[in-house]
Amino acid sequence: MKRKRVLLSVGGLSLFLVLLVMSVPLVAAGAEKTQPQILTIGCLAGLTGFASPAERITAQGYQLGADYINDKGGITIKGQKYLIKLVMEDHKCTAEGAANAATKLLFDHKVKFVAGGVMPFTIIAANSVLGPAKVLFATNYNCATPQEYGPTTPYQFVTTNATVEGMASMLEYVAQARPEVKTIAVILPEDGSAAILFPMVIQMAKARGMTVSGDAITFAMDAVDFTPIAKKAMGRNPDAIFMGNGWPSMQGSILKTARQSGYTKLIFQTNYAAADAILKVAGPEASTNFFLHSVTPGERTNPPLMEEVFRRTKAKYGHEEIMFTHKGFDNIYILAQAIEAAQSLDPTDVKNKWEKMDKIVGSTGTGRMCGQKTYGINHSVCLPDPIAGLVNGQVKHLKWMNVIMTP
Amino acid sequence: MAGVVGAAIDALMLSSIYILMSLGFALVLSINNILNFAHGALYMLGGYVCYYLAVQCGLNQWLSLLLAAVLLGLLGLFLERFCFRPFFGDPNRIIIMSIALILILETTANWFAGAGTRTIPSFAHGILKSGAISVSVERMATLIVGGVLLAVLTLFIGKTKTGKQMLAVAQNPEGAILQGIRIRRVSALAVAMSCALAAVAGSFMGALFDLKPFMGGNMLIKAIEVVVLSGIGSVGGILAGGLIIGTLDAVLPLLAGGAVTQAVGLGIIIILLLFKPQGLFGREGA
Repeated sequence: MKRKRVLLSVGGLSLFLVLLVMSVPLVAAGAEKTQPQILTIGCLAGLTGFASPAERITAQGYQLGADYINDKGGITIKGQKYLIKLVMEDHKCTAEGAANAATKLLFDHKVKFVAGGVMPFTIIAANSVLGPAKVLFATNYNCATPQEYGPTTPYQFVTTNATVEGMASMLEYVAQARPEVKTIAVILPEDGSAAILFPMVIQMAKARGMTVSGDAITFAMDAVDFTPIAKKAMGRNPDAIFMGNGWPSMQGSILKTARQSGYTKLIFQTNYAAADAILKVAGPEASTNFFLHSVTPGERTNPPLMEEVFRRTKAKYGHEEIMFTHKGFDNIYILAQAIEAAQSLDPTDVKNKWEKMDKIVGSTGTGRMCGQKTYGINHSVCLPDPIAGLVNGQVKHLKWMNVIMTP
Repeated sequence: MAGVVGAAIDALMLSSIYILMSLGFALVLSINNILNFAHGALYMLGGYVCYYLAVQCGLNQWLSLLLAAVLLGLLGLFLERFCFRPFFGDPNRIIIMSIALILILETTANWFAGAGTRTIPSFAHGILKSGAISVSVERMATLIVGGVLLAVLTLFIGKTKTGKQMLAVAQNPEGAILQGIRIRRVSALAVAMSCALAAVAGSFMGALFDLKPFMGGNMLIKAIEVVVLSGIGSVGGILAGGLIIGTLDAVLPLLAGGAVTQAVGLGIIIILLLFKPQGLFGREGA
């Protein structure tokens, strides 16, 4: 009996010790999970080159997105916290620069996720490196060229409203706010997208009771003077001038020249540029009767997250060109949501989850995945769109357009 | 009619900027025998200096323009003395030096002022209207100031003793030395004037459009186009070349897509060089 008790005691003690020893790694693992790890995301930005003034502001937005996520404790994947670290590479606003930057991200930094990229030639070049390696590439914009984004780029997503979404919501707004506009002259940059976008503009305008005057008026991305472009558009005597893609320097110059040449009718742009940047280029005298997609700081209808981005932009970088920082912020913030929703760091898992997500949050509100019919792939995030105006040299918020789902 | 007048004014305005740039580039090329590829970067720097004086320091735009030209002129003296003079007679090293200057100036501008949109406030406001013709006062002011500056410069080179010394050095440096001309002084003056002209052009363009750290590249190509088209060693040729390239750039986009205009300007130069390698007004063997 006594022996049995001794055996039981020894057995119990042994069992306790075994359990104790077994629990050490579990406890250690638990402790490890409380320590955040680092998730490195590659980032493509034009830190030098012709579009760098705007691209560098966008790059600040990428960093603000990462900062915001990290300040909230990072993202959690299967119980493990991850803080986001951005590795930024300069694509120099050229195709070869983008290919080099993507190669560096892939082979030097060994990233599985890449964000950034605005201009089509940079995205196409980066994709030639990232696509075959099945790196998930969350671009910040697209111009709807098939080489840039579509069924051949299954690992690519577009995180915010881009050209097609912008054209749809702005034309819809113009149709509502200015029903007298029946003819438009269309200006597009020669960045490889004009031939794709122009038929879309004709179709979208027609659906809203407008016709396009003549063919597309195109300009070289490295043009010095945009005066002839503005005058060519004015020469068609349209009810309004439509500017597709382009940077604030280009669009502000066109606005300025048109006004200085006596054109007083509506001019509107459909891509996303900071209103105050266009105002600076065009000058207050010329900045009137102009619609654009831009967020307006302090507007009471702004979502709280947008105001947060505005506050952080001012605090960290001391400026108010927040349309680009918003785009950059959303790029990282939305990519992080997709990774967290997939609960995986494998790009294929994230891709599979992301394309099925029915709700995704950006700084302008809640959006949805779209684009299957238009792009042949439903990898676009469609978000609510802010419409602003330049009125007598002032930036004014005009309307929030609800999500127009790109088919 | 209104369109033609408008296009003519645009062409003249753009031409005057191109001529200011090209004249500076050509001065240094013909007097110092330096292909200063940093001329575009100096144009950019001039614009930024004017911006900081006008916007950050709150000075009057015209005063800022003048100060920017003076400061860039002083920078030109520094460049001539410490960056170019040690390598006179060694074109390879001078080209490397000018490329290094591009990188230094562009990177510095990008570091300090690269993010965001910066423009110099307009030098003149308002619109001149006559019937259907509307012309901005700012463009007219650019055209007038550019024209006056060119006239003064042409008179200076053609009529003053220093100007004639510059011409002598450009035509025959050895002969100029034998005549007692202080060739170093003339060289330094040429680089200083070149930089000051670039600053004026950069400031006007920074007010008409906007400033970018990499804006000098395109303008350098335009200056080279004008100088090659004109031929080296002819001020009159620079005026004609600038007018031709400026008019092409102002008018061709009205007739064709934007990128075509860039190609046409260079196409004309290639064809011209095939038949007239010395340029339209250049000397044989220059």
